[in-house]
Amino acid sequence: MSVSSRFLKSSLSSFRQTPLRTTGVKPFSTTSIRLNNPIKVPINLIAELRKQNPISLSKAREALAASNLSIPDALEWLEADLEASGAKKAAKVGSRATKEGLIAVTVMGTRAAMVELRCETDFVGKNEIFRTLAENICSTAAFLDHPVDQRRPASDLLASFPIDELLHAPVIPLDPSAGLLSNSSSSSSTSSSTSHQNITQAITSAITHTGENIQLQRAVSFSSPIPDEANTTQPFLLPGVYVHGAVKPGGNEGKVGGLVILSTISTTKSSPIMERLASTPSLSGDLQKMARAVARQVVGFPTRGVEHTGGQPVILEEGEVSPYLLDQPFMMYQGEQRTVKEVLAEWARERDIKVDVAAIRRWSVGDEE
Amino acid sequence: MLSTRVLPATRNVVKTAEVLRAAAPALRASAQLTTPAQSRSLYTARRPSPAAAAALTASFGNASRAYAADAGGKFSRKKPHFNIGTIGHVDHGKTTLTAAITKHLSEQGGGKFMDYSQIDKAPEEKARGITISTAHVEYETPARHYAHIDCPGHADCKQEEYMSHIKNMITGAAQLDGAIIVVSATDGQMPQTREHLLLAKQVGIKKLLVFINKVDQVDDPEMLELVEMEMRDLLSQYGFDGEQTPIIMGTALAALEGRDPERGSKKIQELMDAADTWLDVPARDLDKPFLMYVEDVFSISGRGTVVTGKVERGTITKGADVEILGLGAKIKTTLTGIGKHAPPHIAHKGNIDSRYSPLIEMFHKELERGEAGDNMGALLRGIKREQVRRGQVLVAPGSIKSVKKFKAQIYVLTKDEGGRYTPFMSNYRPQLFIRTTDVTVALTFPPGTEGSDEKLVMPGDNVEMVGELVHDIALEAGSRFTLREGGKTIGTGIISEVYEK
Repeated sequence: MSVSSRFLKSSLSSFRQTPLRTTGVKPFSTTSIRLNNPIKVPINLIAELRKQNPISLSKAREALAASNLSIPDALEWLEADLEASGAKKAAKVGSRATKEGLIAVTVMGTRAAMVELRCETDFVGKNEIFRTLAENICSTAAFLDHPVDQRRPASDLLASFPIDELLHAPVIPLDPSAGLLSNSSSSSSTSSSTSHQNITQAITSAITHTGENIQLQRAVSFSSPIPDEANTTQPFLLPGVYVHGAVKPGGNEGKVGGLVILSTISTTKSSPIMERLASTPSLSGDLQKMARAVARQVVGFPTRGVEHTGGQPVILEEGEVSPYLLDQPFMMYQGEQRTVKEVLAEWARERDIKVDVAAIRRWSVGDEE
Repeated sequence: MLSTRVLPATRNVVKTAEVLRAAAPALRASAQLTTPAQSRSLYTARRPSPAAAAALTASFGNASRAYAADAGGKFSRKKPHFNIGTIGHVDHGKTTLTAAITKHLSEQGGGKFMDYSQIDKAPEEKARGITISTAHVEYETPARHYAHIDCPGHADCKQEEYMSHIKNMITGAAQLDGAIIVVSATDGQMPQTREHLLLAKQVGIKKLLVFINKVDQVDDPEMLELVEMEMRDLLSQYGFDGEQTPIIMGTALAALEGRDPERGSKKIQELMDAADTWLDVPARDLDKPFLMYVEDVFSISGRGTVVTGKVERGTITKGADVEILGLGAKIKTTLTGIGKHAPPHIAHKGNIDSRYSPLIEMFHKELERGEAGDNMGALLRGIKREQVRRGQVLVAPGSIKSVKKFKAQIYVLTKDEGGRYTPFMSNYRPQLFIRTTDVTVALTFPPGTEGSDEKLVMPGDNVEMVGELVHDIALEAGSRFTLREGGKTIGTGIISEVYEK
């Protein structure tokens, strides 16, 4: 029996006294739910409310009873209630292990992010509510990354996005027209409410709906530096992403994700890379395709690093492929048998550029960090 | 996970279903004691040969009933066996319901009571880091024997556990014949109830039962009606019979604690009555239409053409009409004689005197009837030796089609299971092994799959794909096969749909 339903029983059976929606009263506290007359909540209203906000039956009834059977008011009531009872629910399930979930990736031009969102079961992991949440957290991380960043060490272009910071950020959906709760067709009225939610609230809301513990496990983001006109040797940095096992056809949320950064410079002395990109429109498209192919490669093979640097030689079993990207056959580029290093060098030479894989991340759900 | 990793390797050396059945519990026990490293070396040491792969495919059908074998020691084999499962949200009381069923039935002599903690996994197994696939719970009603699988959903359940569950469904190691969806009356269906129903569909469950639990916590009977209404809607949406599906409302906890019999034990009884009547026991191999796969073809002077092989299912009597199907053939003929035939590894490779001819011996003792599991020789009227080939099947006319194109659910073995190291893409062309034949198959994503040009299939995935064979073979929904490449098994699959030209 959930906390909320215990709540409901006591509040409805014992305290049916005063009307509820008086301004300034916190609607979620037990003593404030007092009804003059016991309100009979018609089940068709409960069903309708649950279509717009897939909350538990008892909570739906509580919300309607407290809102004079008005669905818009009940939705608002639920929103306010989330703060307290949602947090309680989150605390209750907070200790349960989360081993399932999704890796979400986002790329928007020269910005990109990857996050891992965990839950308890694969069933919730595949659910649209959870997937949308992962998508929104990832787009938020991509959107919020700063182009110039002091915390970013020069040695690794990909910086972990501090989870605490991300949790307090407002939800910035990739597609602002899509509501966070748009599980089914009829949820237009709730979409406006997501605009002022932060990530923590969005997660709490999903916990309330699914009854499972949900944890934002890790996040990484990238944004290209602002081009410096004076510095003609400044490389052009372009991210590429790929996700395997997408739960929604064509979606960016799946079981294994990859985020790569390609660093490109022009080998034509007179013409820096930024000029080249402006004068040759096809070049940036080509680079995007290559970034995508490299990201697929990283995901498709169990890739641990870009290059093998010193230390013990890698011992491979027959048929096994190197865990280092540059030594792998570049299968994801037109089924190539030659190594990534060779193919990438030749591909770049043909375009009078030099391309390096500057950074990679490969995450699978449930990885030990 | 471990047990399924070891089982395929072991199957290769176990030739007959009977041995497999008998050995199943022991294998499972030993599998749990084997370390991952050991089981891996066991696998690599016994990389299956092509012939073994055929045996592997053949044994799937029988292995699917392995749970029955487990029960053999304690329960009567006379009752029909049924594999049932519980699916639902972690807080809705699946395990309480499972415990309540064992308690209720044990009071009527139908098995042993198992309490919550026993079902909810033994702690030492968790501590050793070994993933047990599912709790083994069994009980019986006057009509049937049940093996009960408490599907993952628990907070501590590991990903492999869930994966192996799907995998087991595909490889046939643990077939669920039906399931109980458990929903709490206080919450109603949850967003992920959709995914529960999808899983049921995916593993081929046709009928479900619904148990609405915790009804004592809801004071308004209309609320219960709403839960029922919403469940019926959702069942219909996912292709189940929303109107007819029995929905039982009760409280598993009351039944377990022996109070409130009206909403407790009586409802458990109602649930089991519904299970006995609503959920259909799958047809036994003997009751299915005749199918024998052709292993070898001989001509015996003065008698005619004889094909030998194993009867996969059904029965046949002398004089019956049969059809030769597959590899381009569709020939009607009559079976004019049945001979008992030793399995090929004894007949051809055993240490039997070289003068011994199984063909001559075969018809010394003619049979009137052949049935599932028999190795037999079939004498065919008016058929020339060249007309029949290994890889074809002998079937009851019209009972199965020979097709080139199909849709299937495929599990791709990980490298630790002896499979591929690398992913593959659309239009991958491995060999498909089924019964005694292997045919090259081109695998593509179903039409309309978004991003199919860059979609990958990685070791460990289970994926739906469309296959197009270079030759037609007898296939139907439910046929199991393996995929092989360069001498090793890389995947297993189960056909979900066949397409005729």
